[in-house]
Amino acid sequence: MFRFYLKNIHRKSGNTNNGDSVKNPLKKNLEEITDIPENSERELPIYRDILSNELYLKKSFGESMDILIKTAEADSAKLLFCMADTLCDNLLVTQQIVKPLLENTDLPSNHEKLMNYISQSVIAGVDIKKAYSLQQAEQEILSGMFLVFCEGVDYCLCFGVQRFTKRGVEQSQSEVNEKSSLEAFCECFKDNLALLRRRIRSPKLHFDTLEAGVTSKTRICLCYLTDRVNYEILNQIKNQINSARFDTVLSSGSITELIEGNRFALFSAVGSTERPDTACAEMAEGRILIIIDGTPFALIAPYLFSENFQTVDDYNVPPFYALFTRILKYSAFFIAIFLPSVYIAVCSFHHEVLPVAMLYDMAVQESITPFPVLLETVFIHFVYEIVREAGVRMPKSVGNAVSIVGGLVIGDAAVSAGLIAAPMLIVVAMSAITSFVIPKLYQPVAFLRFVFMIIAGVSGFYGIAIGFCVMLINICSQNPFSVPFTSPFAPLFLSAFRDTLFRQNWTKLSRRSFNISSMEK
Amino acid sequence: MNKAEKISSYQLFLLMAVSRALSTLTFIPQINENAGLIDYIAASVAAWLFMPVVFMPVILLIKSNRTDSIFTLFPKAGKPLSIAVCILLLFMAVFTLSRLNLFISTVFFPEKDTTVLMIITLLAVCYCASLSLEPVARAGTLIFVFLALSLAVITVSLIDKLEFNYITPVMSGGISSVIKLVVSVTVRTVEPLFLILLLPVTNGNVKKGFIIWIAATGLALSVITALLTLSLGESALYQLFPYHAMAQLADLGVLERMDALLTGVWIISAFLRLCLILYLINDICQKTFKTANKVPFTAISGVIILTAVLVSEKSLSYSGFIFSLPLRACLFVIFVILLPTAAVIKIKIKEKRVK
Repeated sequence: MFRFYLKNIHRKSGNTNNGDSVKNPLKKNLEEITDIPENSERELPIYRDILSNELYLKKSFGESMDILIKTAEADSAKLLFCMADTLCDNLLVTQQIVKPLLENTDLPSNHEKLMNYISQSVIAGVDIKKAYSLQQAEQEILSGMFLVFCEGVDYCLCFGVQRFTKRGVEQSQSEVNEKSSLEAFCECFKDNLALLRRRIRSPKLHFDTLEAGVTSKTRICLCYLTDRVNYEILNQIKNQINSARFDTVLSSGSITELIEGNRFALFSAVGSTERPDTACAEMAEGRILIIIDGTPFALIAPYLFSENFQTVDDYNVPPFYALFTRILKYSAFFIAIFLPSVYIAVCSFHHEVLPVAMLYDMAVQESITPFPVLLETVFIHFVYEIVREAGVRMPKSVGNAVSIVGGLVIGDAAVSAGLIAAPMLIVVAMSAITSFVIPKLYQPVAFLRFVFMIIAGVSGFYGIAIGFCVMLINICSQNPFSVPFTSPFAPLFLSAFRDTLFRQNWTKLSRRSFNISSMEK
Repeated sequence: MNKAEKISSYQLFLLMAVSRALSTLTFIPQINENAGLIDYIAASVAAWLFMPVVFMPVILLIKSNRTDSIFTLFPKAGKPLSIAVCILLLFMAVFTLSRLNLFISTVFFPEKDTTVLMIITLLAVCYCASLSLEPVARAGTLIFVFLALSLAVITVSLIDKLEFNYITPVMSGGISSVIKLVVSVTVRTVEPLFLILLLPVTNGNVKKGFIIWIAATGLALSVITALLTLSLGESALYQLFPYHAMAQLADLGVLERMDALLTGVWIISAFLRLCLILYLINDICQKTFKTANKVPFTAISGVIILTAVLVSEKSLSYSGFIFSLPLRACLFVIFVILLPTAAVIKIKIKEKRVK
């Protein structure tokens, strides 16, 4: 609709848009415009001459079909309109901005006064700002703003008229809970902030916006409560993001590795969540939330190892059940990593650990398989990972086929063919299921499972013990943002134990709030 | 690597407790001694009462509230002293690794060569020691919990297996044998040397923590020795690792192999002690030679330790030298008693001069 309207305006003013270089002076002068600076440090101010601005923008956007640049006249004042068609609400632009502006016959003749009049009296909107440089104008266009330039004025007005296709707020895919909210973050930046703002209706909730990615200029928002956050950590994160030299930031992975710092850490010291209720709870403890535009996950810093074993449901069930589920999760963690390696160690080196009856049965089962226990275990776990990865990547319509192939064909047929022993299937199944009890730790658990399998195959229980030491010391060596990763276990913080392994009842929990800064070194 | 990090006093003392527990649990009785098994209990109790006196110089050193390394007290002798301490620490590491090697080659892999395992262990120790002191201290805190739990479980499971008939009159072989045992128990407690070296980087009430540590260590030692005596009797003296044999007796219903629980904790305790020793060697060498992390002292120490262990494995006379009590007693007297005594005297002299 906006295109039609502007076309009519051009017909009225005698301008054509056929690109004829003889009749249209624009094309002739396009080559004369100065080169667009590559770096953002050299900012070009907005020209007072509308034509120059138009030439710059056309050269900058390279005649991209979704960038609309049109000139118009409003009561003898020359105006330039510019917007990104794919990011703006055409109806809103036409009805709320262009139409009132062009139909107004009482506009001030002075250009500066005209711009003030436009921003304050003509257009009904709150999201209005000024841009003083052409680079800033470019960014505003790419942020879905509608720009109005006026002849003789060295700035432009930017109106917030964003509307673009996006995914709505849906259920969380990775953090499923029984008794909690079903809302999850989505890709839209503002929708995510709205989800947070709805839950924490406090003026102390602040959102600081940064940009990352030289090309993508992805918006990153740091969310925190001003009365609880540690400003040193906040500034550290800001500096890290501002000094990053990524070309594009399209997911949270690059930011996670950037602020984490330790390349050799087995477990990530930066948490992530898909749930706004979890995110708000983390902020209430003085942590910083990092929301990246286009990513439905929020990053949490600083983050503790013990938080991987906590879920929102723990706070909606009785404390005794919360204790039970947390013990379950800690046990699942150890079973997921160590069960296959213990099986290998027992079968290869330490037969005396098993009761005689069980030893006999297992020996019979293993005797019919052609491969050593280590090879068998690594092979079947590798096949399981292939099936799991296929299940994640493939279309849902063929998901059932994967289940059938994985479960029946590979599992049952492999045992029937004598390739693997039946106890091995139980081990694989147990370790696989337990690894999904703590989905946040799936990647390090899967990796460590293989590492410990190989260690156990070489050196039995002794190797497992040594490997466990190395893993433990690696975890203990992490101090993300001066907060020990293994808190509150080591170093011991008794005040934080009220919500670590067990959860105190809400009466006690609500008496005294907890802040992550109390654990700082 | 040698960051200016501090650990808390309870982390240090839990690490020392884990180290001392390792010494106790991997104890090999001397068959030539005339002492009866009951004398071991008496010696444990007597050593417990004797330790505060023996460690008085260390307590006085703690009271002086020094924040600098002990070697700075002796400007001229500082360098040779630090080298001597490094050699002592290397000796302790060789002793620990040799004992660990003996343990795993008899319990885990009686028919397998353990050289590769020792190499892997030392590589892992070198990596962990290079991560600084704090992770080792935190790991020690966590491992102590497992150690205490495993000992508690074994104690509970052994209650119905205790035989009070094993109790024989104390000092039936003469008082000298008991005195020898008291000395033997005391010289095995070398952990105060760790305290002396780590005093400048320890926060909190160290004096109170040390006194509690002495009391708790002595009590635990006495209880464990009593359990050993009453569960195994005189046959304990003929076991290579009597405490492991005691753990093998323990069972809780269907859970039969409780020694597996303890064995893992012992291995981890040895690993932590080795990490701590290598960290201390590296720290002392860095400060003595002022190399600022350019020389990998941890790796060099690891190579020396591995070589010494492999040689001692092949040579009985050499291993006998390492495990000999007179040598260890001499080193204990020099470094755990005389060194802090000299340091305290030096501090007092300095204070008098200032006044």
